[in-house]
Amino acid sequence: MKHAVQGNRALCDGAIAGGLDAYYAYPITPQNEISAYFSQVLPERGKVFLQAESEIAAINMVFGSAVAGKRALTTSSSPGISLMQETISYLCACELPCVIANVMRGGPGLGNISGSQQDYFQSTRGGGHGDYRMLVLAPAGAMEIFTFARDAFALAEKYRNPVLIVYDGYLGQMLETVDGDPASLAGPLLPTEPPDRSWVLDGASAGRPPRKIRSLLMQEGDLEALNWRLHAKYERMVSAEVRWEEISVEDAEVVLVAFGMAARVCTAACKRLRAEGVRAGLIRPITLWPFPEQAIARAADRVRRMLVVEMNLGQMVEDVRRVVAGRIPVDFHGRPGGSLVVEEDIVAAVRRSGAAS
Amino acid sequence: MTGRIRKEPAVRFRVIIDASRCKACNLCIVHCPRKLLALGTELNALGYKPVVFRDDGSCTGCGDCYRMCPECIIRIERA
Amino acid sequence: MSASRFSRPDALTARAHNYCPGCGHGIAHRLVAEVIDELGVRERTIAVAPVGCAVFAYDYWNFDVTEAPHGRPPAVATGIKRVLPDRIVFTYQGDGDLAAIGTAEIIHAANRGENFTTVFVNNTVYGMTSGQMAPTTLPGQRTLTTPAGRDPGRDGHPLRVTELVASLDGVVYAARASIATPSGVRTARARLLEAFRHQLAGDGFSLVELLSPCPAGLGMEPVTAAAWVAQELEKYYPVHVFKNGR
Repeated sequence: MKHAVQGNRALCDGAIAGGLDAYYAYPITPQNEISAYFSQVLPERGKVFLQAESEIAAINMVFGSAVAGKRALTTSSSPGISLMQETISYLCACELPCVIANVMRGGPGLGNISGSQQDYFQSTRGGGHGDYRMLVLAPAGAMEIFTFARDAFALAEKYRNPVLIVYDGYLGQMLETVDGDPASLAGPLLPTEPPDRSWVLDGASAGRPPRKIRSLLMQEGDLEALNWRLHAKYERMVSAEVRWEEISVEDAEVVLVAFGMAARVCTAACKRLRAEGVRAGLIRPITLWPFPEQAIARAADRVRRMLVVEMNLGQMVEDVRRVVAGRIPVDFHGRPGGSLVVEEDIVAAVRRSGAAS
Repeated sequence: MTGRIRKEPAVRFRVIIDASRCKACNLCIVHCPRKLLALGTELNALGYKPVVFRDDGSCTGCGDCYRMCPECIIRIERA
Repeated sequence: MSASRFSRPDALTARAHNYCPGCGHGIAHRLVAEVIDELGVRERTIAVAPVGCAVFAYDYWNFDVTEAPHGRPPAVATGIKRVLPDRIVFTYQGDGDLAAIGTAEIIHAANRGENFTTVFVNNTVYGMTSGQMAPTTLPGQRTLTTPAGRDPGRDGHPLRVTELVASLDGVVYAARASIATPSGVRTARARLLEAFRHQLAGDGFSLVELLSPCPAGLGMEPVTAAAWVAQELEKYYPVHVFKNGR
């Protein structure tokens, strides 16, 4: 039986399936469906729901629940995520697992309440201070939103790091038909070892020594050592967690690179291009960080050109160009400010770039 | 009852100070009601002249020195 | 116990304090430790340290302590207490952390009646960063950023935090004490004990403000700084229980 699933609702159901203990958030469009739904179901399930006084308070409540060893989530949209940056840096420095979801709206500034991909830089290049990384997952539809939300807590605990789920406001608002209940379609939970809990602050009882959680390291060399330890962890994430999807890349002459909603429109554009005799393919990064560098590099060795399609002024394209390193032309097609990229424009852009090379 | 004033406290106490951590803030000195604390003459490793306790048997163990010591280096014991 | 009538509480570590000579933090840390010991809750206490001189408070207490971003301890404490409601949770904050950058967090946690305790150390200056004006600096008081004395026309009047917090329904206990004199310290201890008793009983939010000397920030000898707190600060900030019971 088909189910109608809204993207934002899929995030909620996925998080619950993933063992969410506490949710803290401040209202901001286009993700208010999340707190509205959680405010009803979380108390019924004996879980914590709290509408915080600001996004800053919300992410710090997440910090507190994470320190206490619980699975905590906050959701927001672009400007609210901006407010959270300082604490994100602290979460990474203190190695606290948690999940954050950003339902990107139009910007910069107050922008609009549409959908965009304006936060690729913010998500993958910090926004907060220091050398930290988050595992960044970019779902492209309701099923992926559900599955990533479900699996994000275990991933966060595996690496003792925040996991960020980003999708645009269109995906959040869209109602999609799914061929069944997402919970049963999502497959088994990620197998993980029981996480290390030797750092959890739950009271120095039963003879265990007191613990502290902190990121202030003033002794000579200590902070550098922490940074190198984080670096080694991030390298492990690069080796183990990078994810992407390839569609019709094997025999492609031109490869589109896009994530999220833009990738869905590109999928349609590829079909149309193929029907018109252009061998087009698509690489869809699923993790924005770690970025699927090897997949891009391999394609750059085989195809003639790439076109990066984003709903921003050009952010992920910088990573693609960095990896391609000039071997083939990499063009960009984008629409900023909350506007949706459309199939016709992408097809036209491919044809234009083909004529130029 | 008879009006006789006791000159000796019923129980004696003494103040023990961890001199190595004293910062000579003087708070215990000014608050001792019997003026039994004073800066000493020896320097400690921190560069201060730690407080010394004059044990003349009249310490009542009131605890004010302990209360005011920011370093928590004062211990008061029965003598 | 031992022959000791007064000795270091179990909840206070043996580690030497990094604070300046005569700094009130040392007294305040010990008082909290005494109260935690008296209530027998050391093993289920989780504290949230501030950014400020007491950022290293976790070195001086024998229980779990977390750092927090500046001003955010009440939100962090909310996140801890909501998921571990049977633990004793408190924040320990200075005047910048609580009354400047953290004003929203303290007001809203108090307003929600979060069942944790806030120990607010008010010494009228930002010690860690070399002595700038604080929201609680007195009019006319010279600090690093008010060399001619605080001018209320430009910088506003000092904030009386306990009175503000006491006005909120979610607050069960809001009291001020002074740790500048032995009698003040005795009163402070009693008020801290009462605050934590309320938390144990699940009564709501509790706050104790401690007027405290910062000799380095005030540019005074420790004894003079303590006397200044007792004589000048206590005039502006009444030592009083503003609310006890909801």
